[in-house]
Amino acid sequence: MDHQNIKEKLWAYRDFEISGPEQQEIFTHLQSCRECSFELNRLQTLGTKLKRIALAAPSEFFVRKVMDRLGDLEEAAKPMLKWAFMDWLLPLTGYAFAFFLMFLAISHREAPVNASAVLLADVPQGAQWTFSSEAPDINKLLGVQGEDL
Amino acid sequence: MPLRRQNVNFLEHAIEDFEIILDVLAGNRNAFANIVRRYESRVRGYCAVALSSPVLAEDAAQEIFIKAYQALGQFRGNSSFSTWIYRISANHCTDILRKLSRQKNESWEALIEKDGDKIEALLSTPPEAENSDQSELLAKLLDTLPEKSKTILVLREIHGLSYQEMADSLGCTVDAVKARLKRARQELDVKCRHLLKGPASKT
Repeated sequence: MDHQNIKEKLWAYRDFEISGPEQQEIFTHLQSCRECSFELNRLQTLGTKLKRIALAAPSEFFVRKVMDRLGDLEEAAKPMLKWAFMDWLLPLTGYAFAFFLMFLAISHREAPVNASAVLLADVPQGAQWTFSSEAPDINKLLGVQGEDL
Repeated sequence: MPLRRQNVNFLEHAIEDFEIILDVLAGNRNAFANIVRRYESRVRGYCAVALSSPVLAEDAAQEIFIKAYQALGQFRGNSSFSTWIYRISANHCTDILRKLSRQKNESWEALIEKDGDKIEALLSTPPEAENSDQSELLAKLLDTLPEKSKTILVLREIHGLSYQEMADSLGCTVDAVKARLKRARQELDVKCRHLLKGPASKT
């Protein structure tokens, strides 16, 4: 590499981005070239000064602020999770109630009508029924004498 | 080839990061505080320079960590966690600047007119003799650069990322990183060259 090539690679040399043989070649050149040596020193000084711009001082207060904000974000997300089950619970309850009603309707059977019970519903207690093949005498039934008519 | 001490430290750090991430993903939210502690200086420092506003920088840094927490399940370990969080930081700061349609606070010429003597003194002072007030001047100096140039200089010079890490963080190739870095340094160099004392260099 000639002087100009080496001068162009001084930044990369300073950044430790130069490979072994090239690095050695530049190092050897710097031993004898005042201009390149001064230029490298200038670059290093400038870089060192820029470095002073800093890294901010460590702050536990900052750490706490970040963690508090993360906590707030998670709290804000929770109510949505709390009520999310309502999306499926309400419809499920509705369907369950409908099936319950259907089940009640299907399972409820009225007893068959008892004919004797219907016919004898208004008969006074102790009365007896008799059945005869002869036609009843109405007058006799009603207790009416012939002369009365 | 034996691993350098620096590489061993890097690997140990990466493994610790991964263990913490697994703990968080398993449901231990409080473990994320360890990640915040490890990276908050770097993220806040990056935002401070990128946004040129301490107030914006603090809010932005908090939002970056919240984004990182919410996206933690997507971290696959293809790159280091530091590269990943720098990527989130770069994208977030770019979004903020785009929303603000940020104009430069001060042009280089205005800065030289106002603080030219101080900057000249700063650039000539050995680093060990600097004081903390001069950091603000340097930040103003960086702020006169275009946003992309400032971003890449911050990642390289302040945060010490390698070319590959910068490529991963910015979502571009290593060659693109080299080109952008060269351009950014030339821009800064042109602005500082006449203030720095020394033999004239061929350009």
